[in-house]
Amino acid sequence: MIGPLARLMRPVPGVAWLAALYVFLLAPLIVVVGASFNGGDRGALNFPPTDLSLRWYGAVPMGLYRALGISLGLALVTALVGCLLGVPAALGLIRATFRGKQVVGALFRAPLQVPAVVIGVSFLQFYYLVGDRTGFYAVDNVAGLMVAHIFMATPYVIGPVGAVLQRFNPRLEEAALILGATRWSTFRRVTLPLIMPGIYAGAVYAFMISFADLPVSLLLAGTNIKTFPVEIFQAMDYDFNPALLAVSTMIIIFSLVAMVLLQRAIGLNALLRTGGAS
Amino acid sequence: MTKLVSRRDVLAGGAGLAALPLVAAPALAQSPRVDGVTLRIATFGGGWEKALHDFIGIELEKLGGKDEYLPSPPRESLAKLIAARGREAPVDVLEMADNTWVDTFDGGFLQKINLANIPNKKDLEPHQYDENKVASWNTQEGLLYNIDKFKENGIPVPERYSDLTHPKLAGKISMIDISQAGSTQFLVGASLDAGGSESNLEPGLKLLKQLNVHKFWKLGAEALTQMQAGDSWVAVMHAGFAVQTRRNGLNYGFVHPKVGAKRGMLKEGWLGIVKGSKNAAAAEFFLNAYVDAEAQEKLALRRGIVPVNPTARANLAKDPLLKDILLLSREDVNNMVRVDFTKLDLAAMNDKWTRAVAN
Amino acid sequence: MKARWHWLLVPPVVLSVGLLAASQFVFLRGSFFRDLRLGRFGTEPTLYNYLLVFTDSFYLDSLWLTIRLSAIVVVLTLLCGYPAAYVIARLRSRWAMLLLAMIVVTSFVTIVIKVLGLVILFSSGGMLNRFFLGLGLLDRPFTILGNLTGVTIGLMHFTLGFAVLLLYGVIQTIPRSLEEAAQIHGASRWRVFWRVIIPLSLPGVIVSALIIFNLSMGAFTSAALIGAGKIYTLPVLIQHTVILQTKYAMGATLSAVLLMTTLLINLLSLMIVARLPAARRLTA
Repeated sequence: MIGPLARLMRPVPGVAWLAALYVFLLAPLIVVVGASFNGGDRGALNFPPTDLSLRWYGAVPMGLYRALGISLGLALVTALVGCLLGVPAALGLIRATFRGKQVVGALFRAPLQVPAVVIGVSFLQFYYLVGDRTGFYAVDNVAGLMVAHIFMATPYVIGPVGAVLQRFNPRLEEAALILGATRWSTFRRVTLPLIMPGIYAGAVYAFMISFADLPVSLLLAGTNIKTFPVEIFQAMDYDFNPALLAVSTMIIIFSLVAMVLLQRAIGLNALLRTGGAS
Repeated sequence: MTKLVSRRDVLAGGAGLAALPLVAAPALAQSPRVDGVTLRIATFGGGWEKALHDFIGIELEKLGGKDEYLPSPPRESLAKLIAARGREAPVDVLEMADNTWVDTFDGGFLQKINLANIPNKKDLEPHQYDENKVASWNTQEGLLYNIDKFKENGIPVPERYSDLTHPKLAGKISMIDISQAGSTQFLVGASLDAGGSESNLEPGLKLLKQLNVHKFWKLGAEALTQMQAGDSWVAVMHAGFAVQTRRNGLNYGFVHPKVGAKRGMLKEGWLGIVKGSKNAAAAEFFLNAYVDAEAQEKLALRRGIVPVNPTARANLAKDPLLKDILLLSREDVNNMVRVDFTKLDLAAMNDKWTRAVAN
Repeated sequence: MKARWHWLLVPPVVLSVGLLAASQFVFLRGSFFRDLRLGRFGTEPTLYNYLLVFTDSFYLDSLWLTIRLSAIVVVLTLLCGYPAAYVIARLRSRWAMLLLAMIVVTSFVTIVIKVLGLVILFSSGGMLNRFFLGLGLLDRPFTILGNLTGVTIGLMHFTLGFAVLLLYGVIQTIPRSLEEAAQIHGASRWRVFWRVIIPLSLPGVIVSALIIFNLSMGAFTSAALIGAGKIYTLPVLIQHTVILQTKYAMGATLSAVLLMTTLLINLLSLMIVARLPAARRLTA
């Protein structure tokens, strides 16, 4: 039997845990966001801000917006292709039974442990060899960078989708098939909604891998293709420009809105309300 | 070994060639058109490439050419050249810090520059150009320190790198990271000052181990933030950062360390033309425009480098702040230490540094 | 009918594993030749580089450090992330969506910027240190830059979001009715948590653990920036060897050692997990 006080206290440990976690994750961002509103001169990061102003929001160099656009496009394509590769891979990996499955799974995860600089250098060498044979050199253009990003990002899709699939009862699909649904509509109506949280996690992190990548972009980005992390990194190498904090704050706000909208669009909220599969 | 000898010959040869251009210069009064040529330059990003376009690339456009920038720091550019070895040149012009110039030359990635097409070399010192490279910019490496913190704690203003061993500076030093080109200047400077040389870096490494370093900085902004937060009172950086912080109203001083009888450490940027470049004429035009007094002065004002062109330096000296922080006169600059990279084993240096500081 | 699932694997295997094999073959082949710097190699195949790596305690220490660090990151991420994912998955409120979105957004700010925030947070005169020193909980300022704690925290700033999102996806597949039923039968909440929720979400835990371990083994940017030039994990050393020293054969050797060690640990841990009673129940 649970008393009223105990009932009231029930979620407290969980919520406290959650709060601590968010403080841990958000603290450095709060410093960045706070300091972006400091209107004082360059020099260095000031937190807490001493003279509140939006001055640096107007001072973001155009080049930074362009770089942001390039990185966004690149990350979107990476996430999309990552899903197109990762979802079938996870389905195959979980559903098929064959010897050496663990090895294939481990190989799918292997791109994670290859240090980025090695990915950069080895893809450069590989692209030149391919170019020597085919005449198409994927160096110094966006295609080469994109392929490398997709390579790095796909494991982030396979993992979560596989994990959700493993929890999911194939009999639901069988039932749909018996009821006369086609394979495709079974997948679309039954399987896809159920693995959506996995796809969501995978797509978001595939996006992030591309969006945040610095070392590979430094080696594979082509002429006039300046990705956002490269611009930020090289700008900070020379001096401290508070406009970089302003642009980071904009990213935080826009991505927060985008995430909430995305969760609605893919029906994550419906899952939440029903409490998921039942 | 043969490589080292050849490199030294090249450096010596550069001085000899200096006399030659006087004859060729008048013929070049009129620059050739470069219609339809797209010159590709590998250089830094983060606004630097924009400055290059505004002050130098624009001149190329006037002649009908176009400038395109490949955003990659010198070491990454070198990796790209290594991958492309034996194939078409991926870029035409290469911007390098001094520590990368050596490797790029040794790797056989540079083609000879026709110095007759660089009339602006008349302004440069003989060691600032040869047929493999032309000077692009300098930075002056030394010690940036928080004047107030030094006063409060009664720490004397350092004069040389070894003064960083002052007990009160323990844990308050922001040291340049080995991944930054300027780390060579620190290590060589500290070694030279303690009886070592480019080929004997032990004294510098000994000092490095002796120092209680708070943190090795990899990004300028990070080091400045750290100083602002009071975590470090002195940072091994270049004077450009001192100019910036002073303009922003911070009470920071800068020391050009004494090294033996000399004073100050010079880090030199170089330009080279990539072997196999089909746009040699446009590339040479770009190199020439780069060292032009006006372009150098503008670059210095926007991006905090020290001009290689003495006329530009003389103009900067009219600014009291710049005059106070930078060494701008010809005598002062010539009295700075220029690292002899032909005697330095970079890979071994990097390895030793890493082993000395790894926790 | 079952055979059809195999075909789904063909395109990703061809692309993903194919790219891995092709690119790594090109690069790692260099590890079997003498290093002549600047991407040049000797002509005679040799195991000399491997001998160098395995007889040099500096490299071995770095490998061991990387493994230890990755294991710590896995354990801490799961310890912090699992309860959080559970709470969010069971939260019957609109806030849950915002909470999920917020966790994602923390990963969106590049580490290059985040490191500045960390410098300020953990500065000796900063708020955190003043607070804890004032309470007498610390006797000297605490820093995270340039030590293992910092690199761990830096990595966790990326891995936590991923783990929470992944585990949330798995936990929300476990019907609430199951927990309610167990509680009606008198089982305590902890018991339900340990005996029902954890075993049922085990696949998610294993996948998270493996992914976090592998990505920590290969992580460069955060390790390099927060390690502050003092912490040399193997990926940071590899970057130095290839980019700064242009010793490609050595870089390839270190890279091969890292790749093989991680693959081996992956397979070994899966074999161990397969023997756990909870996993047996799952596959039975």
